[in-house]
Amino acid sequence: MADNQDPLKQLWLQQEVVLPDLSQVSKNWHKVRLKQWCYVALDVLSLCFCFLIVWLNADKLDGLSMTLMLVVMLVSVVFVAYITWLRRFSFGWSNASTDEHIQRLLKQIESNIKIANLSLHLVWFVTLLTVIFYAGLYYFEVFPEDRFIRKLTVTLGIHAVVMPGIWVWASRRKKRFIKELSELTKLLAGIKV
Amino acid sequence: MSHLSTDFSQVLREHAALLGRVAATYEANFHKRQELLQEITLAVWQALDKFKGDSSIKTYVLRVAHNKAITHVAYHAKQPRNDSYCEMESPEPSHKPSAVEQIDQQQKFQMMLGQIRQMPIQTMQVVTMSMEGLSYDEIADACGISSSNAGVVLNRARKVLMESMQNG
Repeated sequence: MADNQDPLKQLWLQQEVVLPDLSQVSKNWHKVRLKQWCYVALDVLSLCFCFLIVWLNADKLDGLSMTLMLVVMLVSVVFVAYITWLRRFSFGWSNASTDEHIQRLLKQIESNIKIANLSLHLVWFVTLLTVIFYAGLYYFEVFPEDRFIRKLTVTLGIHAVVMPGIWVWASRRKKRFIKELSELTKLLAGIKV
Repeated sequence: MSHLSTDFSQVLREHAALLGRVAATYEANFHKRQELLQEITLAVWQALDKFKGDSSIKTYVLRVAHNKAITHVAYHAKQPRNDSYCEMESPEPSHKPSAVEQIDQQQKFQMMLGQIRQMPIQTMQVVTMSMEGLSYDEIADACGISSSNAGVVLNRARKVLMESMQNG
């Protein structure tokens, strides 16, 4: 059938459409770029800030604390690098074939579920690490008893507030991403054809 | 690339209606569709910088636009894709149809769009790209499937659409 006689094509091309506002696109571009840079800068700055704190207090920290801090820092560097890489994809565009794009999209949502899962496990892992850390401080008698109890109380207080918060946040994210994955799978399957 | 360059601006203007149709395929809600259209246009504009001429500019624009639209529906999947229509801006038609003709055409079109929105994403893409005038090879290239597969998917989808139009 010739294109100009195809009723479906004729109907399709005659549809009423909203046209894009090109001046708004230019403005949006600046906003998107700024948002991208702000997120990356925030991630990197938070890391630099932690490094600076450790650096400035290096002489005050005992060997055990310093080692623990360095391990946490190294894990954070890997985390920030990975999250920055994920951001690069989520804000941009793709000129890959759609099949490839969909595979990447599915992988990204699966990665988001893994990150949320990781955050959930991080809650009990950090708590366990803190217990081991304080047990070490107590065993090696690093601090006098009154100072040790003061530090332990402060740490327990912070944990009691922060950790449940992280747990709830990560658990909500996990539920959201699982729902997104299931909905995308449904969209890929469609209802007809 | 801080401002729209003249060339890019020209490409976007030439493909504005096409981008509007891609947005309408994936998003039924009027306000969300406008939002999606802006996102798609921005994505196409960013991608134009990397266009190497491996395909026609229309194929390239459609590929980037569909990818962006799929990302949009993936992250806004909880909202229904079929929604009531709101006000629309009409392009200049070649002839002025009567009010009855307009209503009839609008009903047929909504029926067709409703059917398309229920199709799997790949089928949706194949059928709309075909209606935009792309060849089997161009559709296959954009979707990442073989030409014969594109042909099979398209014929099946067209059959469903034609049947629903006749029955409707």
